[in-house]
Amino acid sequence: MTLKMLPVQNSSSKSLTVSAHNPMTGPRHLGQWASTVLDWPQYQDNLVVVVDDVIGAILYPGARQSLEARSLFTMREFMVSNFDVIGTRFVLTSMIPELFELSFYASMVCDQDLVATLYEQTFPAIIGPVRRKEMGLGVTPSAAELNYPQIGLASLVIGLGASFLQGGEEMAGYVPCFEMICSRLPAEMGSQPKYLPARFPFVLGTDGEHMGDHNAVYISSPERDVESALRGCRSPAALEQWGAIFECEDSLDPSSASERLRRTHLVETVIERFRPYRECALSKGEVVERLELDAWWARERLSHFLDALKSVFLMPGHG
Amino acid sequence: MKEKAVEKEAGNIGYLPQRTWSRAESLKYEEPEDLFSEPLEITRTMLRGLRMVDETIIVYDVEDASGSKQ
Repeated sequence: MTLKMLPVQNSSSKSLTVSAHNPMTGPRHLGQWASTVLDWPQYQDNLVVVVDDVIGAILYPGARQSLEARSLFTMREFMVSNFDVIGTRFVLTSMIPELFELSFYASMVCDQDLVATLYEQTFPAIIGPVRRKEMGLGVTPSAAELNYPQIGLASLVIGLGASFLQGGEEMAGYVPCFEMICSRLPAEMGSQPKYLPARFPFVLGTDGEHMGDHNAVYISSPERDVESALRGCRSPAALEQWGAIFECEDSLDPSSASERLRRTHLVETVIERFRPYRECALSKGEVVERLELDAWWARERLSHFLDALKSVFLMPGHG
Repeated sequence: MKEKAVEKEAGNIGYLPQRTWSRAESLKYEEPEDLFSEPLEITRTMLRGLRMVDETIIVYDVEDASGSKQ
């Protein structure tokens, strides 16, 4: 099979929305879920879920042994949410070789100084040499670390013809990357993707601070762990926010329901909402099969964009 | 050349090797491990707009002179 043999996809007037994720930060927790998956029903007819395992390989050299398992597990968590939704695609970046060709051509319109400035706005740029060593990174960044995070995902979103990038506030950091590339390409190559902010960009953890690994509720964790985390929470602000996320306040009158009753309702609601993740029936084979299928969709879309981009650069055979 | 022919018969595209996915025997839930010997703490202000942040970081609010949280 070659790309040319695939049926021409409708490049479609519908607006694609990309939701991008790093698989190396572990299983998804409530905060990540609320800032992304919760909003997917709005976009699911035209949603592309990207798990960027390439960024994982670049940033976590010391943990590459677990890259494959984490990538597939993360993807499975997302597939549980939208597996049967026609119009949702699941893309693992390492399966899309056209992405790297596209990133290279895109780099031809990117100033290295601007790329370096944007790099300074990334996590590995701020952690210092000792922590870099603990991650398996060199004291100074590799060319891939310096360039791919600024150009790779932006190229993918632009090349897919997506109109939007959704997610938590860190995704807003990709807007300058879009501007850098789109402002220097002909307008007919497409308009600049926009950032769609999440309804709940900063979700509180069990201690009332921003949710991270140390205070998280994981969507795939055992039922007893979910219940324990929720019942152990002593932060009224977190409980109130979780109640809003799961729309618990809509079904209970806060003026009449006791704190105990409200918390029990929240616990039962969250446990039920996360049940599909805990009891996921998708096998590794089903996940891989879907990835293979959707990779062809993404490769074909990118190949059309690449063809047009090469025409811009007057590359031989692309007149 | 013989190896390439075998791969082609196995359904691969040209001479490209096929993915084996052998490092993911089963997809099971595992809580993440600590990334650093000591957790990294940053302010919420530092977090805003920062890309590719690891989830092991601890984000804390700081209060300015007026007492409002950042």
